[in-house]
Amino acid sequence: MRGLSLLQAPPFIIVSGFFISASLFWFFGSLLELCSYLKDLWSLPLYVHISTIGFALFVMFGALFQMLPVVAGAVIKEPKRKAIISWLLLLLGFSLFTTGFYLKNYSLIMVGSSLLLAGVLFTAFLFLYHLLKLKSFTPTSRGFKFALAFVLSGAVAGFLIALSYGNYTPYSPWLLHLHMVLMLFGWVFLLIASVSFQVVEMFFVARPYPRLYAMNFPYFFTPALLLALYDSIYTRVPLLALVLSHVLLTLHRLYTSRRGFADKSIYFWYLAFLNLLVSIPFFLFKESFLYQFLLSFGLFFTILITGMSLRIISFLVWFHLSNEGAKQVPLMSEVIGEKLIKACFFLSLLLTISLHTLSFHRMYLLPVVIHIILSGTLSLSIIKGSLLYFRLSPLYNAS
Amino acid sequence: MFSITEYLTDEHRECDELYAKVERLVSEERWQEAVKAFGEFRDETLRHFQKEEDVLFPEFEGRTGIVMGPTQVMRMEHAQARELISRMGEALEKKDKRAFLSVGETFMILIQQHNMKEEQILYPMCDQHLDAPEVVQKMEAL
Ligand SMILES: [Fe+2]
Ligand SMILES: [Fe+2]
Repeated sequence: MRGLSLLQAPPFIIVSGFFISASLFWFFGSLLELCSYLKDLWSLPLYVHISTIGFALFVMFGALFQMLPVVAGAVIKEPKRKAIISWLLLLLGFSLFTTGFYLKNYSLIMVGSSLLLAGVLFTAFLFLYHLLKLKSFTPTSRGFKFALAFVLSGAVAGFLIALSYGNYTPYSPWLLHLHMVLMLFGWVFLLIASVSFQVVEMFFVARPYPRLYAMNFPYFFTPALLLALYDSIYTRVPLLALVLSHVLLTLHRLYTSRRGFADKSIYFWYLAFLNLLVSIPFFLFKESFLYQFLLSFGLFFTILITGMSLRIISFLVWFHLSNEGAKQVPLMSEVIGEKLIKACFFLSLLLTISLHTLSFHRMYLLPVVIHIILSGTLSLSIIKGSLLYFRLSPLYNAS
Repeated sequence: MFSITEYLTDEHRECDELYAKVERLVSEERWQEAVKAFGEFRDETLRHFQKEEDVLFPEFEGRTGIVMGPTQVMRMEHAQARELISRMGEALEKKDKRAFLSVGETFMILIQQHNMKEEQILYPMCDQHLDAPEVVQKMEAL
């Protein structure tokens, strides 16, 4: 029986490995933010990539290893070996990349971005290879295909930017715009939107998104995204209109959810989507509000990921232990307690408020401190939950 | 006439609605109504499992010859769900709100990821390989 369930659910260590690294990167990244703040070493690329790669990319790739069989029926054979390759490339790449930015050392940045590019190419092609063989019956699995294509092209654009730092290729601000739009909208937003089409309806028992809208979302979205690659205020309008439509539909569904606030992760969804809403006008006028856009969009995905990773870890601990016939199988609330979840939410709220009020005055010390506490609490929750699995699992404890 | 996917997906959503109702009543500590609503939720869910286990899965296995595949995983998850449902029932008898909501939370995630697999993978495969009207009729007749 055990072998059978593993046929569909990849080993827990894959997801927990990616999630623990993600939360720790976010935590150590926040310490790096503090150091650079105190030493007056301002580096926007460093701050942005701590959250986008260190935190979001690691969680999303880890989650996709888990979700591909569940939502798309795409089973990756020997997932452990492939996940380790992906994890090692990204881990090394990210560490060198951030150190390079911190020390302003070009060679480190170059080696780091090469490894990151290799990691993204390897992982995204692996997922795409398995997904493209299957017909999509749900908006989620269809959206994944598009989001993965965008992360591939976004990574190439990012690598070209790194090359231009060393004058290997000419630098152009457009390349930066291309990288940003592909990664933030094509990858992060589209992936989250695709997940939301199923998660919101099913987990919160809410009204479904209009079927035609959800199934065809990537088809509306892609031309709008491509148009926005031409950098002007007008070409952003269709893309932002689609994002807005998704935000409003989602907020409405959350608000009319039949479960109310029974599932605590709904608080994270509200807060995340309100931040996404705020980021829309900032992106429209990004010539004047780029920082505000990056901050509110960053809050959107980091808060959502925080809420979701707490759920995913605690569910998987229960699920795997139960499948393995462990003697003791803790429920989700016993894996990560309500207190820790509440603390994470409260800190996310504080982070949102402090960033929105203080960033206009360039006062970043308080938000950075809150970021440290939040990412520390999240790391603690994820590590504690994962360790519980390894302590109770019969696979890791010969009896 | 419904496809198998439509017919059974509708049942998933109905069961979700029924669960949401019990959950709300329990959190408001309206125990008597909660017991009644729980009965409806449990019966509906178990009947749905039975339709799958007694009609759909054997038909699928017979037609495709895949016996130790997705249907076996689905059966195992039904067993896990049944166990959680009976624990919810016990918590309800004891009027233990905390225990009920805590078991319910785990149940809800289990059943949703289970339903996702059925709706994306198993049901479309069944529609492809089986005579949908006939199978739906057999399930209705249970
Ligand atoms: Fe089922
Ligand atoms: Fe079902």
